[in-house]
Amino acid sequence: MAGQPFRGDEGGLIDRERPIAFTFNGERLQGYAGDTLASALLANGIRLVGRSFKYHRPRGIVSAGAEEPNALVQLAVGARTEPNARATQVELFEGLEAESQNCWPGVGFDVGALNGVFSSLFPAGFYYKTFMWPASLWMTYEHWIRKMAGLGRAPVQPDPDRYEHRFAHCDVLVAGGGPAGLAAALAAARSGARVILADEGADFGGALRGLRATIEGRPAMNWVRAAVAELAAMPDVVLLRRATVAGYYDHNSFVVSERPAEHMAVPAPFQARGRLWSVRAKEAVLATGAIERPLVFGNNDRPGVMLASAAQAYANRFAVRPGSRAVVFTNNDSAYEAALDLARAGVSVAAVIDAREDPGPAARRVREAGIESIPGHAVINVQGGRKLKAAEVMAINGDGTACAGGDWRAIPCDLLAVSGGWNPAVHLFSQSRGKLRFDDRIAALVPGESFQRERSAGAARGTFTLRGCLAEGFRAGAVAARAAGFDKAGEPPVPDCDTQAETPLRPLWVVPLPKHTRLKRFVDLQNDVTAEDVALALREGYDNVEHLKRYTTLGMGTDQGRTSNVSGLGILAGLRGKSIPSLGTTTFRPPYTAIPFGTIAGREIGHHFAPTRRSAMHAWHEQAGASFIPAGLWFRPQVYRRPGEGMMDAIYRETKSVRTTVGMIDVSTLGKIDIQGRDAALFLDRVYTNNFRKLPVGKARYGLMLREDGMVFDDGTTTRIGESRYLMTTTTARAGEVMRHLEYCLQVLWPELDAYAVSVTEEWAAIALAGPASRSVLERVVGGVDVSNEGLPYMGYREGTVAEVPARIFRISFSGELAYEINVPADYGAAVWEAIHTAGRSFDIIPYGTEALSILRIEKGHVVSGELNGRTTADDLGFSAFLSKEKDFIGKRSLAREGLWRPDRKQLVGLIPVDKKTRVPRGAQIVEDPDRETPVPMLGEITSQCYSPNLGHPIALGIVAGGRALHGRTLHALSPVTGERVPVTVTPNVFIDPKGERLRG
Amino acid sequence: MAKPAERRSALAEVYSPGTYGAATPDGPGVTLAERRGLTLVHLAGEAATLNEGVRKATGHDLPITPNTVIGDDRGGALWLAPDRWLIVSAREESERLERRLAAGIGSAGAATDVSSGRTVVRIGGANARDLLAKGCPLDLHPRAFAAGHCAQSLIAQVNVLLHAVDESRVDLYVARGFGLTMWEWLTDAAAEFGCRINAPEG
Repeated sequence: MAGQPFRGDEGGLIDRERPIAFTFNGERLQGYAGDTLASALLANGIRLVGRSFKYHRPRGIVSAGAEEPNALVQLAVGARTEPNARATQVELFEGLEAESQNCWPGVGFDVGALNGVFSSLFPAGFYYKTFMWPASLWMTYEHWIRKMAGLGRAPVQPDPDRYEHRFAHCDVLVAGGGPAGLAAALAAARSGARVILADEGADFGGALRGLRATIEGRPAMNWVRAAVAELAAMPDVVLLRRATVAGYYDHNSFVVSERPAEHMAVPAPFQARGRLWSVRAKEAVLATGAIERPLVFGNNDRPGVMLASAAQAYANRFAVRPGSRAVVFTNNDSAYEAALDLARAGVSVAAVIDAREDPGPAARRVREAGIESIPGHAVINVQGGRKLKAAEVMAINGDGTACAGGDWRAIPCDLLAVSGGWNPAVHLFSQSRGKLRFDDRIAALVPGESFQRERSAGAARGTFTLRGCLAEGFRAGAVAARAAGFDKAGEPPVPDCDTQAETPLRPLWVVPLPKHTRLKRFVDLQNDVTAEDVALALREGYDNVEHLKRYTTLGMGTDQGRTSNVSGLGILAGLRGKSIPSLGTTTFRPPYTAIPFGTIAGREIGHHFAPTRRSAMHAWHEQAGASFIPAGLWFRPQVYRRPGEGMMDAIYRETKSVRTTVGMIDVSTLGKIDIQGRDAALFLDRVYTNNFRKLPVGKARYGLMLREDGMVFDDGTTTRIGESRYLMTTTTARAGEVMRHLEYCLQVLWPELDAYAVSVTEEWAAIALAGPASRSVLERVVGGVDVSNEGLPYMGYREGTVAEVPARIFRISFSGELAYEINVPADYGAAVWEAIHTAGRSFDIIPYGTEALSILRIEKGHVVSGELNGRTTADDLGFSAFLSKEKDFIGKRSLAREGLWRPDRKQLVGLIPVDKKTRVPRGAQIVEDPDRETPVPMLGEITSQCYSPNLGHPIALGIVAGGRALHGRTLHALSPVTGERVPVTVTPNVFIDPKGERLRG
Repeated sequence: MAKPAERRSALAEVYSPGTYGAATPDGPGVTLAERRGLTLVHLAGEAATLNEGVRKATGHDLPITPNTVIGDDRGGALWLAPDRWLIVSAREESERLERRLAAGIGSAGAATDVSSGRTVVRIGGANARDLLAKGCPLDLHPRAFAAGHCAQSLIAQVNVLLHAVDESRVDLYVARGFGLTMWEWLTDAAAEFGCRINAPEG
């Protein structure tokens, strides 16, 4: 393991007592606790870290933060591998494994670099151009383009870690924990407001971590530590580290992506690797800082070209020399501090090149430190490939449009620190729909008019002095707290900070090319977009900023153009001879930085993807070997297969048992609604088509409900269980809809009615006992009720006990057999089910599932969702007798439309295959003559079909035009999907016991 | 004749008291206990006409302020919606309370026994509200959801009713059919805080 040749002996926010071993591209290296991967690589002298997206050019570390366009690495191996991690934000931990991306066979020699040689073949929009010419080759191009492009690799194994979601509310959310954010949090929290302060870094301090600033004469980080300690001690302050405020949505809601275990190889047991916070804040303070702009000049992408503030942060925060001999190139004052800090850290700083003619006092300070100051010049090109060798410098003319020529010189260096000015991080502000404004003073976009309840503070609004950041932070925090109702929130006094006088920057969007040169000048390093690409796009007509973005892919990388967007705008404005504000800007969209998929999914994975609704007898069904089928969120037993038994055999066995002996089925999932009140009967009369007012206590009645448009909505039985109390049942599928419909009727249509509807679906476990022996079984467990045909006739209701549990007993049947439905409080459901099953053993009782239920129901011609499809009327289904003529009901008026009574409407019929053998295809169309010329008129469709084990042949239900008049006719069921065609005979829809003698027996 | 049937909660199959999840220095941050055998009656009608009957049957008034509770940690009335309450009692048999309430209110409203239809879990410990905040979008800070308040919301896509019994304890009511799914969610979400499952109450 090599040493750290570029590490200083002292200083920095690192812990030299805690060395950390890691590997990069297989090489074992060492850094210290507190390092990022980028700082540790630089400490080890590694400057070449990746290859570019399109031309595969060698690339180095550009920044020290979230804006990094180049140093994207693949982390870890196996299931925890993560692509596109920014080395500048990856915290170093023991055992970290990182690899360069987008290079083969290695970062030093990359075959894809040939793209650079042939780069004239890959201009802006080349991807779109491959669609056009020659079109036939697109399939070939695509294969290779896909192979060459793309950055990291997605993991292929399941993610082994936990991810969590978390909701939070606060009075003031502060995004960003630099000086302005900390000041805002302090001012707000001291008023008693609930504050959430989130910062993307491992600790608070923001830019102060990388500067040698002082507050009250002491290092600024002392002030930061005191502020964090004060905030941490307050009970209503939440401090989130490694937490990026990634999205700002309507109603001041935010998404924060926290990475609590990102700095560990493996999270602690039960610890989340990622946590997604959904925050609602009454007020927000955006203290998101600013991002330095690079300068655009020839070969400005070479490893060793770095943002000045990043070079400064590596020197100060990590005690790392990012080079041995540096040149600084700037158009503003901030890079002069960087030059001085680099010199102090032991880097030999050769010169500060400044595009401005008169840099003012800053230049004097560097000269005093022995650094050459070269005003009025620009770096026009750099020498070196994988490693920087020299910066070529030339004078530029007054408006920055051409090289003055004549005084070319090359200054040897391995680090070129550049600063093109600063862009406030206005991403969240823009996401909140605030209007951006171009500020000529700093030549950057700043927050303009707010749309939501937020305010920006500090560098995020273009204030770059420490004193200004603290003052704005305190003010913003106090204003936010007062707006959230904490009237006494005040602004603490601003402490003394060292502040230098500033000379205004000189905008320089692109350094002109020397005559007769064709150097690549990169605007967007991640997507390999050059100044020439911008010019080409403009020549091809893409002069709108949104078009330019999409055509060139400028700003569309994972860094979202943090270092390139404004420069691109500046270049476009220059070429068009317009001002930047007149061009408008592209939109900033969430997330600010990528959120892992795991964090978005949270714990809603596996069986928590959707909740499961279980009946009280669920465990019994499981033990009895049932397979389950989802019915909404319920899981219902589908069939109980015996060991070695085939699926269909089991279904037919269950079906036959019900018709010959006795079966029991869990029907707890049917909707049950308790309806009470003096007007309960009147209410039922209005929602049902048939009459309920005359239903006596202790009797059940089938009820039919229509929608307002006259189509059938739902059906079920309703039982009068007391003088002014009814129990309504609904289908499983429509239980929720019916409940909502009833509440709507009661609250909106007829608030004057004294009637109440309460869902009791969950209160009662329901067991249907069906078959010729059902009465004999019931007699063994029932108490206090005579269940003989006289004591409890068909459609009768009694209350008594079953297995000594108070029970509601209904003589109703879905199967068409003698049958009872028993309701007991759900807590007793399992015990009562077991008692009935035990009592039924001597009658060969069997549990049956939804498959057998479905066959029994088709045999009886009952309608369910296939027939109640929202397009069938009561008459279509043969239910016109249920349409009361004596009263009004929902849907009645619509039935006056004569089209709903046309004789050729599709009507419910039964269908039997002519050969009594061939199954009727599911969902088949019904036609009269399948051999006639197309289009063949379609008479109807199959809605339900099965093999009837009780009849010994297949049967089906269907809706057929004028079907009731076609009984006895032969039609054809065609399935265009399967190619089947089956001749079928039209019959009535009830196949078994059409007179209902079994029911009443 | 088989022996009389026994009540069985929706959690009976999985309920297992003990300590689970992360080991934390101050002991489990969350305690969970199912409240079994509660009597729950849904009450509908106008407060003005129902209140006297309710007071006769239960000894306390109906809360009129939305999302508040009148009662104590053994029972009371939870406001659900305009003209809708849930009467909770750990003291008496469900049918008796329904009948006494029905008798008390006469024909003025509707009392419906729903004792079997809910799974009720008492959540305590220093991290009780942190646990709920993992799934519930409501503001559960004691300033917004003080003792004596109740609210209806969603947790993990399931409708829930929450009752802040006091600063540290919250009762969660969920439809019985979702009881097990909610229990699985709660015990999973509580793992990072350390979780003690107490013997069921009642």
